[in-house]
Amino acid sequence: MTNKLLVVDDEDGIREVLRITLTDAGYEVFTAENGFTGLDMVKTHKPDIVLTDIRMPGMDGMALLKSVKQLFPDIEVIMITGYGDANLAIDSLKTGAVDFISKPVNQDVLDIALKRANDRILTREKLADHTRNLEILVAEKTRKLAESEKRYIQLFNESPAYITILDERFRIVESNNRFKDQFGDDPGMYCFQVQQQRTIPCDTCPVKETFADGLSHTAEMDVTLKDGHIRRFFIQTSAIPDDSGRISHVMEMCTDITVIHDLQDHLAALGLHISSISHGIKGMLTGLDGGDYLIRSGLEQKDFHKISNGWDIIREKIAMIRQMVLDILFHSKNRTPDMQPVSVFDFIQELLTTMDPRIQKAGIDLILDIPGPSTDFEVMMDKTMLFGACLAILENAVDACISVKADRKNLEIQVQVVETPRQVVFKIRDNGKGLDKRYRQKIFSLFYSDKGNKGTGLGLFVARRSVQQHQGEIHVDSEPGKFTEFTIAIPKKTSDI
Amino acid sequence: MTKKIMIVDDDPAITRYLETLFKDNGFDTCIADDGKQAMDVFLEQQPDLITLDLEMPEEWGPRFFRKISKKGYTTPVIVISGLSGRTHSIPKAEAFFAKPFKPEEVLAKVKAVLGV
Repeated sequence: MTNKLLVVDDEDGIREVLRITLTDAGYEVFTAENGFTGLDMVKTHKPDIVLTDIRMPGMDGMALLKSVKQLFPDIEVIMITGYGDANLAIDSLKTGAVDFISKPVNQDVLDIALKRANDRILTREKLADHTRNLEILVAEKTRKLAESEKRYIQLFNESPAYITILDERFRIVESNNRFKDQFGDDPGMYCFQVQQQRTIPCDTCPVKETFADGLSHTAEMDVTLKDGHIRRFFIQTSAIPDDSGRISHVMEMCTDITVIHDLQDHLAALGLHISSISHGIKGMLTGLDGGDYLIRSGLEQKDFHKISNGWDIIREKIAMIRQMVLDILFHSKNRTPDMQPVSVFDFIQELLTTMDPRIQKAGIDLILDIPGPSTDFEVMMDKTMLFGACLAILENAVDACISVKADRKNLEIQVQVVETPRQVVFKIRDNGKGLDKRYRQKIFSLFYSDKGNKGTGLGLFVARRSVQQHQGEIHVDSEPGKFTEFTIAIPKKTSDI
Repeated sequence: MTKKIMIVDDDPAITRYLETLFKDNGFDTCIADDGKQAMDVFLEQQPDLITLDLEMPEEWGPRFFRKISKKGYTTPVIVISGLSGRTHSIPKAEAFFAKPFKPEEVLAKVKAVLGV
């Protein structure tokens, strides 16, 4: 309800009557006898409604209406018209007056005009309130949206997983901070290029499968970080459809499970130790029984040749048991490499000195392409670890040659050391029995051996582990009946192992 | 006539052991290092009994046994192996011995099968 009202009229009687009537109706009423005084009072008292006569000397009602609307557009103005002022009344409505009433002033007509003015004021106030509320609401929603956006970006970036969004060409269109830290942030990178150093997509790609069927797929892969470290990742994918429902992108989330993977290796090893090692041990014990029997039989029959044969068997089996026990101890211990600078020349010499008696006895030629004392260089390595790895490979090479000794002349083992700017590469190649494809695939597996009772299946497994702990790589190439070549490449400088 | 036993095992220490054991007890022997070589030796030597290891690099024992059975041979076989599932490997085998075996038990079984 409005409460301030100004009456402007040059007739004292009308002013007074209206003052009394309107005061009685509950308004606080001010009066002015002309336009100028009226405008001053408008400025001073800021009434809600102005009732003004149209015809007044000096400033008339129309001029007052224009000034009021210019200064205070929210003040409602009701015009009081005398006879013959119909055109002026219409003009005043066009100028912004809310209504006009005729003289003599009829109470009912006045009430209607005032109600109309009050309604308009009320509507405007409601509109103003509504607008104000709307603005507050929009501001609040905008703030929440900004907060939520910030939160989602934070969650995306700070996620403990590596997250990427990939397009159909396996290009990374978005990635989180963790991914950028470890793989870089070059625009237009392909995931297979960044994570696998490949030029074409991986054969078993869960992203490809998700693009094909829209379902979530998983995979485990070894990936190479930008600093060269190799980690085991568990990969999960999910489809991101566009507005039309077509899968435009796929999200790939990778979790580093290297520690779990290593633990799995250990647990698997532990389980297999019990079942598989026992098989190897049974063979060795039978061999020892055999040696014992031959010696006893030889002693009874005074057959020195038999005794010698028996003793050879026992020595061979003791050596195998010793090696097996050492391999098991080595494998079961989670040993941190003790990196020291080691002369490559000394390393190879020591290796060959250890193996020389077996190589000589088997009649195998040893061909060396290694640094001499003058071209020697040092490499950071855990000598004990890498020595064991090379020894296992060299022993396999000797065994492979011995197994074809009856059919082949010119048995040879080549040992080569190649120095590149970043790596030192050891190659051990024999021209023995070779390995067919199925053996090559399993050769580094735990307890796998193609040597039947002669092998424990630990040597190459431990060798690979040792090389990996040097952040190096081990590969095998072979052709059945022709050759087997093992390549060990280790970085010259390894840090933070 | 002296009975001949064919020893099939990839570990030379074990073949030498069984060879000596059988020869000391009056048997003839012949040796094969794996299942693949065993067929040649078998056809050439025509043994009266076979001691057979199961797991060997080139060809496993059961496969060799299947091959000679298909050819119609009924030569008795005694399995000597470290594998835990050896008793299921060759249902028609005369006996199964676990490595390490007791030589007198193997010998007794061989004699019983050959009737000597």
